[in-house]
Amino acid sequence: MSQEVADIIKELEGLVPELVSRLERISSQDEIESLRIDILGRKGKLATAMAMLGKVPAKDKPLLGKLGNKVKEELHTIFERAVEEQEERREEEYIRSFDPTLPPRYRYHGSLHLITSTINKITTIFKDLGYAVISGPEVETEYYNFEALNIPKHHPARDMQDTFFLRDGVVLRTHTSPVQVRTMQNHTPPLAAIVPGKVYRKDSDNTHTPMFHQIEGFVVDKGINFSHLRGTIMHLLQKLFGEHVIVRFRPSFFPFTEPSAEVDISCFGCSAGDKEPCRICGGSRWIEVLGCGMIAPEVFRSVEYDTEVYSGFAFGIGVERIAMLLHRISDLRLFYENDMRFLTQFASIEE
Amino acid sequence: MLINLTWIKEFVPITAPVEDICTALTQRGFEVESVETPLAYLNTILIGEVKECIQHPNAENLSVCRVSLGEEEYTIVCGASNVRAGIRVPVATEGTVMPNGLLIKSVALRGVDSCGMICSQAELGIASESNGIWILPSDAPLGVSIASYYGVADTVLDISITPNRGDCLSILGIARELALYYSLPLTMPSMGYETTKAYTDSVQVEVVEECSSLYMMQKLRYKEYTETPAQMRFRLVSVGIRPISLVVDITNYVMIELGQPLHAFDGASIQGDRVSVQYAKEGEECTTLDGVKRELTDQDIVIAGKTGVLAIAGVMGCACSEIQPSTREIVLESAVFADISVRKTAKRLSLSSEASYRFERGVDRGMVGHALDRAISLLVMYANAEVSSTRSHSSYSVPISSILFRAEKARTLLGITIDDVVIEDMLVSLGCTVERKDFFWKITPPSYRGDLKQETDIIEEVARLYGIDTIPTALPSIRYNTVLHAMESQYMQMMTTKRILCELGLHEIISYSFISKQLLHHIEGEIEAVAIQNPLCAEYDVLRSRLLPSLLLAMQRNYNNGARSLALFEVASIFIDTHHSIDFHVKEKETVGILLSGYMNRQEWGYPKEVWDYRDAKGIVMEYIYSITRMTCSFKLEENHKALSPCVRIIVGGERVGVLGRIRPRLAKEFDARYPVWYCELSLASLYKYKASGVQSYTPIPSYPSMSRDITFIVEEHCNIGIVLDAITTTSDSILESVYCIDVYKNESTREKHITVRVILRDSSKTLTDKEADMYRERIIQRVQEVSNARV
Repeated sequence: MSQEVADIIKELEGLVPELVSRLERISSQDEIESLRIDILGRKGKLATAMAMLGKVPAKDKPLLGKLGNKVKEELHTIFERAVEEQEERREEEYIRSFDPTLPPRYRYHGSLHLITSTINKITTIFKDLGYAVISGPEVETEYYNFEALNIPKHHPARDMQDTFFLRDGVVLRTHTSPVQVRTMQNHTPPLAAIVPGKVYRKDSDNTHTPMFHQIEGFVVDKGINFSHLRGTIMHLLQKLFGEHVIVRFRPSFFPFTEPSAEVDISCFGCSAGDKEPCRICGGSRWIEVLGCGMIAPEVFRSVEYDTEVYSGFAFGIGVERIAMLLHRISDLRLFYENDMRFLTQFASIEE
Repeated sequence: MLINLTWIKEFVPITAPVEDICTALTQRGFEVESVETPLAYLNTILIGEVKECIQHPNAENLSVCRVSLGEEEYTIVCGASNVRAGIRVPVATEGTVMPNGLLIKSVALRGVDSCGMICSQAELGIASESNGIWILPSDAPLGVSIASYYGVADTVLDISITPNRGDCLSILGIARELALYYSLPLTMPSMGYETTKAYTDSVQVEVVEECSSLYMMQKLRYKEYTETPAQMRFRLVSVGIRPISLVVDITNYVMIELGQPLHAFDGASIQGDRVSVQYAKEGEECTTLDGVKRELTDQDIVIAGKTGVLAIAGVMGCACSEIQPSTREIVLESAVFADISVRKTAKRLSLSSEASYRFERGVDRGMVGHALDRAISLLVMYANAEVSSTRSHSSYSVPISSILFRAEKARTLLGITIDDVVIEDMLVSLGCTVERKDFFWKITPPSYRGDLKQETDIIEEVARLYGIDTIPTALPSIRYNTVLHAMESQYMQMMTTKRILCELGLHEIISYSFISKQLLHHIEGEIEAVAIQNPLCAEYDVLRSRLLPSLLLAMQRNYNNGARSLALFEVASIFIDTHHSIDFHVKEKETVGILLSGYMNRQEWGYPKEVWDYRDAKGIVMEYIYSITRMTCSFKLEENHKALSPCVRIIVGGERVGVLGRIRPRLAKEFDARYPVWYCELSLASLYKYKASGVQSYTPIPSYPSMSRDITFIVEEHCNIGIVLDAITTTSDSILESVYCIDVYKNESTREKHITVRVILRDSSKTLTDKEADMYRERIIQRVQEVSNARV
């Protein structure tokens, strides 16, 4: 065996121990890669050793070639294992250092105003019953806002609603009821509609804002009676406040309905033995939630409906009031201050 | 309406506990708003006798009294000049809270300990002023409270009376309802008296029919001025009426009892013993009892005498006919005045009185004479008055109309089962006369129920007595109305817009529709706005014709509260003055306002640090518009916007639907902005004209791979990126799938901009080759260079 051949054999046989000892000293992925290039690369040590094969006598070639392949295979195996071990170590390290308490990175999400979501909640209840959701103008004539609803110009009932005037005979609507008249005028029964919207009254204190939201609802058809009204209101209040809500109807007066009723729910903020007067009901144990009644014959006459054929009921709900009760909000002004700390509290989806 | 329960028991022998009475009233439509004991302070004011009264050692005007309350004795310092030994006086004991809020406690007054206070009538709330302490009858029992001595430890209910039930603005009215509820008898107060035969003086009255359908006057005279009995005064105080003088107190007392307002004139003021009830002369003046000079119109009803106006009918008397301490002859008036006229006058003069409140709601014609009798009997009793045997009387007949009523209609409208006879009993118990004639019944309501005019009114009474809380419940079956449901779009548009913007990460605000004109003009320039004739305050004197001011105010509030990331929107109607009478001059335009300012993200570790800028705002606007219209909008620079600079107009389908821009920095600063403020205002109606219709069709997912080519164009620094992108996209080449910017770099030294775009190429029918892609790249470069000086 020539010295040359012996050198090649030595060179080839030395590669594996060299790799093993060098691997022991390295840790990073990059170092493994550069080691791989150094040994197994196109110009690496194995390639250099193999290149020398060309110069050896033909009889030694099979032996050297065989050895070369064996070493190459062995080197690859060691590398693969080293890479695997490296990956395992990295994975182990990741798992070991994983911090489940890391602060999250949130996606943006917006929020609907609580008034909007409360309106949604209520209109959905009525949409499910088959009502149409409709709108009407906020600027109204005195005729639609008052006269057509049986509130004549010089009647004490006008005192119930302090009105903003824009011009003679033109007002900001004080309630959503004018839409009732407009709808009856333009359509023929059967009618079942729910009308959410802004309304305006010249009133501003802790319990009144000059603008607020109402939801008007009405049904006109043949054979509609007071028990239907009661059933509908009960359904609404059970959906809103739970199946076990205690509801009280008491006679009241609205010019546009007769008989009329105001509806209270039993206060959930206090109990019989409380010493301090309750902040929600003021100690009365009842909370007023809405007004309703059978549509008055005067209203039907103003839209030329035959009261012997059709009857109907109507109700009006104060949205802010419902929102305050549902979400235990004690200060009405919060709704219109547009403070982000308030607005963003109700971003979650409630159905 | 304040109802004193002790007083009401004189009318109906009710024994039920207070809570029960409240429930009863509420069930019958009279909501009890609160239960009060306004005279509770009288429970700890006890009757005492001054045993000894000596000069205070350190104060000339004070006396030191030894007061016996029966078993105990106290030392009380008193400042009154009429205090003396031997008199019986009211003593406010320690812990009493006086009507003026003063808490009685033991104190040293100028070095002498004083335990309690000897009270005057004024201090007890039954006189407007007092000269000294109140000397009680000498037989007043020692140690007994003033409350029990006068029997006035009363519970008072504050009841809300609906405008249709004027008949219940009295003790009698509420007593009637309670008598009905509890099936108890109703007792009227005593009204008997004797007239003086020889005294026949009277006032001749002349009444215009439209002014008063029933008018009565009667003269009385008395020999000396008498004080109102304390018990009556306490009663008046308990229901919120201030005691004045015996005559006035009695008229008020009877009004509270029976609901009929009365008025008393000084007899001497009616010269010639003639009055007429008529409309005032236009511009006629008078001075009312409150000392205010009033100008009248020919719509106001007055009681006119020879010398001018003596009283504004049903509203207030005039100073010239006021009862004086020296008055010895009075003329009492009881009448029904035209409700609408009284209301108009009271409204116009802003002079709502207890009387006008009742006249407006209708008084009981049947009570006019009785009320007069009741007042006279009280005057006879307390003032020993002589009563003229002549009563002036003017009456115009009022047609008594009966109501046709069907029991069947009541049953169907209420959804209840109830026998005819039960209904009949109910109506009779209400005081109605019922004539049953088969199907139609003829109902004649009692005179005090002026609110019962038609069949529905009777049905309402049936419901009320049946108990509306016991009517069964049923859900009606709702029949679908296609035409009505087609009207839903307006609400749906608003809701869809709100939902999309919320999904895009924005927070909805809701602001008042009113704003200050000054602020609007300051922000938006001299634009028009619909004025409110009677604004709440100057801050809200117009309806907003833009949303921007509201959003700026919301931004300001939040910046000042420490917020540093604002993404707000509002969807609301703005109000435009159209100057056309067709829509009452006002057009409501539903509008969207979007305001972005400050950090886009939380200011926490690991979040990007960018603040909202034009690209973010534009992205939100385009996403929103696309989801409504499925169209891409375009943006064009717009100049001279008052609030926005730069400002771009947003164009959809060739139409300007809104603007987007940055609030001018100076303006933003005024609203305490810390970062640039981007704002967009869009017209919902304009946008919805381009609402995508129909259902979106599916685009097949490509089956061949795409290729991409990056190209860097070098342009001069002010060149818009859009010029490059538009040049590439305005082509009908089907293999250009998309193009987007991957980098923009400004070379400060050469003052050039390097715009790197990536074009995505794809042939839907085969795999593109490198060569084809390279060729296409050259074509693109050529196209860009045709419209610009771009180098590659």
